[in-house]
Amino acid sequence: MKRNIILLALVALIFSGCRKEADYHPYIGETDQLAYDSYSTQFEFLWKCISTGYVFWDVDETDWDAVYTEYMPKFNALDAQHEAGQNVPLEALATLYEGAMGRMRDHHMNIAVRNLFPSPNDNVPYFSIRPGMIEVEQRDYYMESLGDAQDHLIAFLDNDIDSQYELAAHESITAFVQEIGGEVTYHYCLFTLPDGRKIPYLWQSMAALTPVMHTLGGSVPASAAAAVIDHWLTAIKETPREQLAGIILDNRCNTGGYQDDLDYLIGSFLNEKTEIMKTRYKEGPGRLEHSVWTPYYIEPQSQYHRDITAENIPYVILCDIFSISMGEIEPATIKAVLPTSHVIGERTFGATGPLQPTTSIDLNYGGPFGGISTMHHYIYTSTFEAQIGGKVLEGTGHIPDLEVLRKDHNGDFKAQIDAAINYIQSH
Amino acid sequence: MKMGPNWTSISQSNLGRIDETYSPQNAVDAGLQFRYAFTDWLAIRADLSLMTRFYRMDRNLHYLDPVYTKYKNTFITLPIMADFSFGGKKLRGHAYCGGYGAYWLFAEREGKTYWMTDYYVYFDDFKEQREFNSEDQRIIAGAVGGLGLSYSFLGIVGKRDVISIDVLYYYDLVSHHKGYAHLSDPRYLNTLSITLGLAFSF
Repeated sequence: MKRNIILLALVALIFSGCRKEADYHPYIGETDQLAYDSYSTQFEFLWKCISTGYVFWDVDETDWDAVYTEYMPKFNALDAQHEAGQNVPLEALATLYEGAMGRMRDHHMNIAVRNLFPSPNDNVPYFSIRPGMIEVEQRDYYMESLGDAQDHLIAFLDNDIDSQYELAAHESITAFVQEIGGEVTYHYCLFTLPDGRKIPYLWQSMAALTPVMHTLGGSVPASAAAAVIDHWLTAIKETPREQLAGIILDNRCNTGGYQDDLDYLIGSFLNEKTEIMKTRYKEGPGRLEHSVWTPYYIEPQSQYHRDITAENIPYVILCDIFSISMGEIEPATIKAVLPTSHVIGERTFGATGPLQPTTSIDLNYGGPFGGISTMHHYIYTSTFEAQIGGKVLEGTGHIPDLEVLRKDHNGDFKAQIDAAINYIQSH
Repeated sequence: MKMGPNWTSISQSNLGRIDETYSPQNAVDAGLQFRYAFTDWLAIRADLSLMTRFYRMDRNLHYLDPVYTKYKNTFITLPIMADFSFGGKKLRGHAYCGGYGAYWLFAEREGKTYWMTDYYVYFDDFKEQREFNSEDQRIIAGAVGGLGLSYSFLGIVGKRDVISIDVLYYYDLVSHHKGYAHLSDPRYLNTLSITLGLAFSF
């Protein structure tokens, strides 16, 4: 008996040495504290953190192991160059990172890396690569962003509005919003059709209804913007059905913002709690390990409630190639949930994964990490993967029901509004 | 025939995911056992077992601590062991040593997950059959060893019938996650199985 037990113990000891050890992996929440001593070490840490934390490996076609195999020798060569006393220009570093990571699917992604050993010829201390922008610029309908879209809209309202519809009301406002630490612009218009029916229209430069509406009735600068939004929502709520032709939400050049805005844009028109999309996050370090797809619900909101489905009121959302993040999640989810919705414009940017700030890195050990202002890198990437209408839209964006391309109209801002009003008139 | 409870733990690195902690869970092991005796003290023992191997991951982050996942895996397991026995004619002790191969048949998971908006976190219960993916290594192998006690008596079914209790420890040596060329990330299950057996001698 004793001999048998000793034999078993010996066998167990032998077998315990047969298991492979896991490689070292840094805690992603502290990578900005790591003092890299070489370009290859920095690349390896970033490669590992993206390997375990990136949320889109199920839809991203990048062969991440092949990236390592191909680029690690090149980063080693940069180290050798530095050790030989030669400068490594930031541009050379940027070229390597663009080759390695420039085709990632995550359209929120921004890879910012600082030159560990700055070259005298470097004009800036770090570079920044946006794989999503690289892809978008290659689309055949790409046109430069109407970054001054509000100016185009004002010009359109002042000069170009045709006899097809008149302007019953117009309010424009740009206000500082404390909660986002920046400005947001809104244009509320009330169009009047020849038959006298009204169309409440809102253009928003970003998705910030929630923080702005928190100030409604107050005296901070954003309160005036909240009043403009309130006018749009109130017009939708209170205009009698026979006088309300439809609704327009203009999300062109909307760069994204708050998820909770969907409470206003969808919840106001619901009668019951409704699933609008699903999200999931990284759980476990494997590239294909995720949480389950978890439903994301919106509750009916009473403040501006109107049952536009029962009243068959058309709800048009305008979007373009620069409708980004919440700017495109809004048309996609509205379309998925509200039957009278209709999306007009261009296929959107394709950045649909919700994000949390770097301070929330422990949520999933994915999402934005690092800090470029004082440290060596900052990787801006999605915290969650989203599925809207049963599809992951990351990298492709939302396809409108009616495609109207600015490129086909000499870059005109007006053609897409015309299409929206024509659709509502014919509804 | 054999059946009994088991306890499974997982050996893996969390690769920097500091609040994902794994703990053992109990499940069931049931199947058939075969034994061929070469001598009075040496036999070969082979089992065909449907083994459920569960473990659990809990989040400890203060506002996500309700989140957990219970991984419920089912394997067809084939252990083949040398059976060194000792003792009297009726009551005998056994020491087992050998290896096993296993096929990962089902992967379920249940627990509590979360979703969040800009201001709130919500929790949601879930239970799903997990689809296998290209990173799952479904054929695994390992070492198995343990101790047992058997009592034989005049047969009702066979010449002599045997009741037994075995305590076996299954120690995976093949990771059920394939890992990556440049990032080793092995996952090994360890299962302590206690089964009551009934055998018929022919």
